Amino acid sequence: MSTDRARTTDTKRPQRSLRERLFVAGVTMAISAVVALAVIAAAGSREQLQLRRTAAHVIEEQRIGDAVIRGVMSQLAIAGDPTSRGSRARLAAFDSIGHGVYDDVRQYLFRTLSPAERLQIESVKEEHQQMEVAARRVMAADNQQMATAAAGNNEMVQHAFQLLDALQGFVDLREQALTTLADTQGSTLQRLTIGSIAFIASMLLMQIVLAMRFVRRRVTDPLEDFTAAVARVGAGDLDVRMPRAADREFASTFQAFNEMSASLATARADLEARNDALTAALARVRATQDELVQAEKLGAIGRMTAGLAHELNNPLATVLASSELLATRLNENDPPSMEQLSTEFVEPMRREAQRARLLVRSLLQFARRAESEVGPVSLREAVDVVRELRQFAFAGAGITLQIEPIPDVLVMAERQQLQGVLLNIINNALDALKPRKQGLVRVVTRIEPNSVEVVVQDDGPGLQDPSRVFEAFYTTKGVGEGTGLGLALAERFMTSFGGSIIAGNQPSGGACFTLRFVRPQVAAPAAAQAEPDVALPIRSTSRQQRVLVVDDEPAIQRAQSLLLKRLDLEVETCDSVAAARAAIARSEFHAILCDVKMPGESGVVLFQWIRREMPSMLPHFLFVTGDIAAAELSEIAAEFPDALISKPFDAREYLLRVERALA
Amino acid sequence: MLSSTRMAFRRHLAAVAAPLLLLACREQPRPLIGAALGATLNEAVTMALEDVAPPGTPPIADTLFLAEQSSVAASAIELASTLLTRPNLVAVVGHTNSSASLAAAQLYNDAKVVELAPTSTAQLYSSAGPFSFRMVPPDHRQGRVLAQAVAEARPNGARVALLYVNDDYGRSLRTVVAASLDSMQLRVVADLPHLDSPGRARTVLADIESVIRADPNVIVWLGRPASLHAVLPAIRASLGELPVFASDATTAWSLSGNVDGVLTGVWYVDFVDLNATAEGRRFRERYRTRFGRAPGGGEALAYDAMRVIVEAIRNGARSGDDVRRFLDELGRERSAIQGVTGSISFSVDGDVRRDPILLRIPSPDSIATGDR
Repeated sequence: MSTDRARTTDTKRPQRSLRERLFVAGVTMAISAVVALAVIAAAGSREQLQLRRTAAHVIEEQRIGDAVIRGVMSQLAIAGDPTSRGSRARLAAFDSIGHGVYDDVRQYLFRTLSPAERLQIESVKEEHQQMEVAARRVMAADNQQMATAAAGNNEMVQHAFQLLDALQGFVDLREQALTTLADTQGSTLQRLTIGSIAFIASMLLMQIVLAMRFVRRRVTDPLEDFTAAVARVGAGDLDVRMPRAADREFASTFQAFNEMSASLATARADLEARNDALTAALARVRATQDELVQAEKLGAIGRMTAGLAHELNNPLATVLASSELLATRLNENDPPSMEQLSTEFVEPMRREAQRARLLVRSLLQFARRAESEVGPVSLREAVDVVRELRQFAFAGAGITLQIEPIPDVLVMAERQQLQGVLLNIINNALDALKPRKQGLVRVVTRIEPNSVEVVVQDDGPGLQDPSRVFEAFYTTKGVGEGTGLGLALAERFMTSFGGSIIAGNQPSGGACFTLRFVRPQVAAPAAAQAEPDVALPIRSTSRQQRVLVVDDEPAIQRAQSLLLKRLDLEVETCDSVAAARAAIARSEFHAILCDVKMPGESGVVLFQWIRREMPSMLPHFLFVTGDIAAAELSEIAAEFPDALISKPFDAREYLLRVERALA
Repeated sequence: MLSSTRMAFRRHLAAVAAPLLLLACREQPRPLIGAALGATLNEAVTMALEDVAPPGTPPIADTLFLAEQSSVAASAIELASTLLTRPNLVAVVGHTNSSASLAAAQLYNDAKVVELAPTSTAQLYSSAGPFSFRMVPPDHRQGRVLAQAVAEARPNGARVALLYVNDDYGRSLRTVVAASLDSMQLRVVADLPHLDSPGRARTVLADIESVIRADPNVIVWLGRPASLHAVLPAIRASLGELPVFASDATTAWSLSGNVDGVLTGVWYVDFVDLNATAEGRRFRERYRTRFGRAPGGGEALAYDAMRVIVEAIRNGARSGDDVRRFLDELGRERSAIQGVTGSISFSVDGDVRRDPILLRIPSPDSIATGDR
């Protein structure tokens, strides 16, 4: 903007540097001071010269006056001498002297005289003329004209005296003028001295003021502007530009500053563009990473499927055997007593079903795709999930999974990624020990004030090359047994948690992985609740409350109805969302328990309908689902954390949740 | 920043320039011309002013007339001092004779005011200063004319009586005439000064005996006509009708002063012959109509002197220095002015370029009929 104009102006007029300006100003000041002093000195010397010249004039005039007097005296002498009468030579001498006197007097004529002085000179001249006429009469008189001669003599002498008087008057006037001039010049010199001091002082003051103004306008103000501009640039305003400076030093500095600001602005724009590109790339990397994690998890699940089926079959076999035996016994004549019923049939079935439920829940939790957000996570819960998933695989392989008791400690991690890390390391240990059909995998936790260390070690063959285990696609397993990404992802996750992972071999030969976590700077959560009581809550109220159960499975409908009756509730069941909407439109319910995946519309559709039509019912809406990790429930779970009941559910927990919803 | 500095400078410049402009544009006073002459010459000057600016037209210059009561140095110094008190004085037409003009010359030169003397011939006036001008040539030209006339009148031996007034005028003329006579080997038998100041006894009558004793056959009179009028009957009574040659001062009496015919036949030096040109004759008639008498050469010279000064002012002269420059340029950078006395321009000494002529005083009868 203004820079272009400034450059255009620069090409038109070359700038002076501040140094040159200061030099010129200094020289100008010095010259003006010298000139002032010279003027003062010249004025003083002129006055003195005038005085000297006037004095010289007076002296010369006195000399002329002396010459006039001498000439007049000579003329008087010639005219008064009786022998001169009739003598042509004496007459010529008289005339010659008279011419001399006249010439002397004439010298006064063209001098600078006052009117009074000039009148005196005119009187001198006139008296001389009259004296000459009288003298000539005396000189022309013969012996018979003695009376004429005597009268002429008297007249001649009288004019001579008058001439002398006039000349003396002239000299007096000149001396008086000289005295007056001397007095005048004395006072003039005095005034000149005072004026000189005042002039030099005022000039000095003016120069100081001008110098201060110059420094302020040419140095201080530009520096302040420049400092402010630098501060603005420091604050991030890269659009600031300095105007064109008058002096070369500031001009070049400001131009460099403007170019620097422009370069910084360009560089910042480039950086912002690159940052945007990097952000987009990072997002893509994260998405890819999530995909990889998910793939790795799914792979792990695939690899675990056989073991998991076995693990599920065991409790199912127990439940099936117990239930068949119970049915047989109930049809016989010797039915079991209530105590036998509880200890021999119901309790084993409940325990095994609980075991199967935990296994499925762990599997679901592990498989769920979660947002990558690092925060405080319970280390014990993560380890428990892994243990639940793999303990039966370990047992089947004849390998002992020994997990030292872990206090309920929080570490900085992302829940799913943490489970993935632990599961990967445990799986690797299991895979390494499996061919031997025996061995020990030991998990030890050490808690430090600011960190938690988890050590997983086994007594297997150890790592072939510990330095390469975290490389992507590095694997010692057979084809199809591993992707080679597990430990690479584990290291990346640990780094993103702010922790670390170290792989190595024990001196005894087994592998050893050390996981170091950062502890969050928050208070420890409340102590874990005590193991829930087995007894189911029973409630009897004076006011009958109605509950709507929506599930496409009749068995689930029946089981829930039986449980809900323990709370003295009136239960109505539906097998679809459409039927549920009709029931809700028909009558009032105090709570709604709804499956998610049903033929036709999903339970989420019913939830959204309730949100639109009956928002006051939302706190009383519960999902009862076998897939709480379903993506479509994630937003609802975030908004209503207590709205999800996982199938298969614990009866007591189920009833407690329904009670809370009814409250 | 450069523009604000530039704007501040322009404001300061305007603040300084505005009062200077107002000062420059204020009304300038008209130039003043002084006139310090005798009564008849002042009349001629008045007529010149009326001719250049007739009544009803705006005046070209202010004028201040001071009449010389006597043509002596003291009176001239007094008049010059009075005139010089006026700050807008640029030129003075005056004074009447050489003594007066010389006495005042230095005052005018010091004040840088032009002094244009109509009839002062003293040789010394040529070196009076750059502001001293005159309408007549210096004495040495007149001296040669007079000597030539003496030689022609007495080709077989002249015996000259040289009678001069012992003042600046007479002494100057006497020196150059004596030198011219001597160069022509014309004998001077009487060389007598006299006094002609007002209030003083005219000594020439008392001394005329010595002149008569010298028995001259030619009289050369270098003085005022009144004194000549006083002594000429006595000379003629003793020496007969001998030729008399008078200096230019006689011109004042050449027409109006010879009522008794005493000066008839006297040859005198003049610088203007009004009869010689139509312009001169018209001037003479207008003057006679205006003032009732015929003008002499002095009146014509005074008339032209004022015309010259007015012409300088009309050409933009606003100071004495401007007038001096104008006069110096006449005949050089500017054309000479054509006046009733002929072409007017000045030498480097301020003397008009003009030749003296010799005229003869006519009889009163011919003056009365205007034949001259």
